[in-house]
Amino acid sequence: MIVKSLTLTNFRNYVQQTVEFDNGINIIHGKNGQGKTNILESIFMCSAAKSPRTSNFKEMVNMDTNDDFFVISMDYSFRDMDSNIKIKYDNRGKTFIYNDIVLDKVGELMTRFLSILFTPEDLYIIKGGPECRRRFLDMFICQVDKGYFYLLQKYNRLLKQKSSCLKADADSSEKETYIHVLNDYMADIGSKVIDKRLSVLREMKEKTYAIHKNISNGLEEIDLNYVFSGKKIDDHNVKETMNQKLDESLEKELLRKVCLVGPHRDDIEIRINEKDARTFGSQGQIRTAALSLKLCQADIMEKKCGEKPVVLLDDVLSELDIGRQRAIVEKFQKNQIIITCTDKEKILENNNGSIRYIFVQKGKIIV
Amino acid sequence: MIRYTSSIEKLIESFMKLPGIGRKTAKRLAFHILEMPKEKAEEIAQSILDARKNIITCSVCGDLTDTDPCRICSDKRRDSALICVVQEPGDIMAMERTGQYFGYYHVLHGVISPMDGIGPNDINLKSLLTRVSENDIKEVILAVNPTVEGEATAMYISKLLAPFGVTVSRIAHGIPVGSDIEYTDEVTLAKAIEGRRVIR
Ligand SMILES: Nc1ncnc2c1ncn2[C@@H]1O[C@H](COP(=O)(O)OP(=O)(O)O)[C@@H](O)[C@H]1O
Ligand SMILES: [Mg+2]
Ligand SMILES: [Zn+2]
Repeated sequence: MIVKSLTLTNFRNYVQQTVEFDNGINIIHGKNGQGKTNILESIFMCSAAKSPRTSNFKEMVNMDTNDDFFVISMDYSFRDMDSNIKIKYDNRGKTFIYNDIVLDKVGELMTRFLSILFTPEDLYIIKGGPECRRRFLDMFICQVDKGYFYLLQKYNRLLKQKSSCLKADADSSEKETYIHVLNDYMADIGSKVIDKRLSVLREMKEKTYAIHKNISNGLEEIDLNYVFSGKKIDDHNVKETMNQKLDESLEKELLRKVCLVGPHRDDIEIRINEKDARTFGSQGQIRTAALSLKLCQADIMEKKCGEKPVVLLDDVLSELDIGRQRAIVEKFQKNQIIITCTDKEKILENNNGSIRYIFVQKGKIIV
Repeated sequence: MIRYTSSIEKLIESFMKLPGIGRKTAKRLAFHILEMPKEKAEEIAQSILDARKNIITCSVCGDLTDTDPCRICSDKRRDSALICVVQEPGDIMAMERTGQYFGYYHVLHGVISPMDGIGPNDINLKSLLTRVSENDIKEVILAVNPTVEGEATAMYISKLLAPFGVTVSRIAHGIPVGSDIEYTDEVTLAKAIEGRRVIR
């Protein structure tokens, strides 16, 4: 998977700009706030149909121009085939276009382009709330499995309906019967969501363990477990378990008028040397853990899709010593890598391969 | 936003009350009407008034009709053991065009959708239960749309019908005729697999 060129129109602080990339290592450099991350954001959106920073597309329209739209257009190659993805946004909404065909469902964009983004915010996967870990896992599974995207969409819709129903004024026998119906439906869809998460997590567990142990010089052992309704579970009878829990919680849900059970409340427990990393992890451990998780995802992505994802490293290399920088670049020596940093001298010193440098200043590429 | 003299503005706003019509389309329609010959415009206005005055909902099935009971409900040659439940009046026309169905209908006028303020008691459902309990119905076919709300409504109805001992079925949804499996999205394909039938 290689990004050949990217054209941004009215996107963030870009008015109209084309950026070309090399197959190997690309370093985007420039001072803070010039538009380096914006480039990676737009590339990542081509694989996830979502921004890692915001769910509001309007925020990404250049506010310094009078136009009320943006376009991201990316030429890339996938299995040696040249393709193009366009993401357009205007006051009528979002449009996703693949090779000039307008996709009628967002989910159809999934798996057409693969990238993996490393950012300083990755630390929140470990130290943030459960929603950070859910988002991390969900975004990843969607990228490799569009069926999961639709499943999640369906589950979220059900969730909205059920919360509205719980909040709707009077309790009646009809309302209760209907909630039972929704619960059955949610147990069906919700357990499928959990099953998929469990199977991906099982795969991640072993790989992350090995990677983490390796980068921590054999000192740390990481363990991942899925937590449903406050309890670790495996893939046994998830549907039944969820059904039961929904039944048990119905009274409480009616009282509190919120949906208390299901994948939207679950968590992934991350332990390092048997201690909960979220509360007990040191800064260094958290950084290593986040890195291991992402590296592991890159492996799984390649295995599932048979193609190497484009690796986007946003401001992360500068935080690592030269040894770890090398280790990462080595791991991805066959992937295309796009790196951002403020000081290009501090990145990959004495690298013997060729590097393309891209200098960004105030939303413009300076050549 | 540009505002026009009040009666044009009122016409535009009236069109905007129709489903799927935004200000832009409403404006186009309004100016189109104003440019028509006067009689043509009056004809349109009159047909709205007439329809509104003459069309009532059938007291049996809930379809829109000018006689009560409607033509289908009064047609004694139909199969009285079958009721097909549809979401909107327009769906009956679609079912009739197939020429494959000879039972009676029941129109829900929507599906349950709490987020739009539509609860179980806000659709035409009570009269369906009455119909099933008072007549010798053998099968109720649920032909609601395959959306999350449609599915949930179908499940709800089948739960309510359980005590009556009638067969409750759901029409199959799947790949449109003439389209290619390769280009069918996964949701539709999954539906088609769910609704498959044995041929041998
Ligand atoms: N919608 C927008 N319209 C105009 N400028 C924006 C918009 N969103 C962000 N920016 C600008 O983009 C810059 C940040 O870009 P970013 O890529 O995050 O910087 P960095 O080079 O530090 O990675 C800031 O100057 C910010 O003001
Ligand atoms: Mg940045
Ligand atoms: Zn009728």
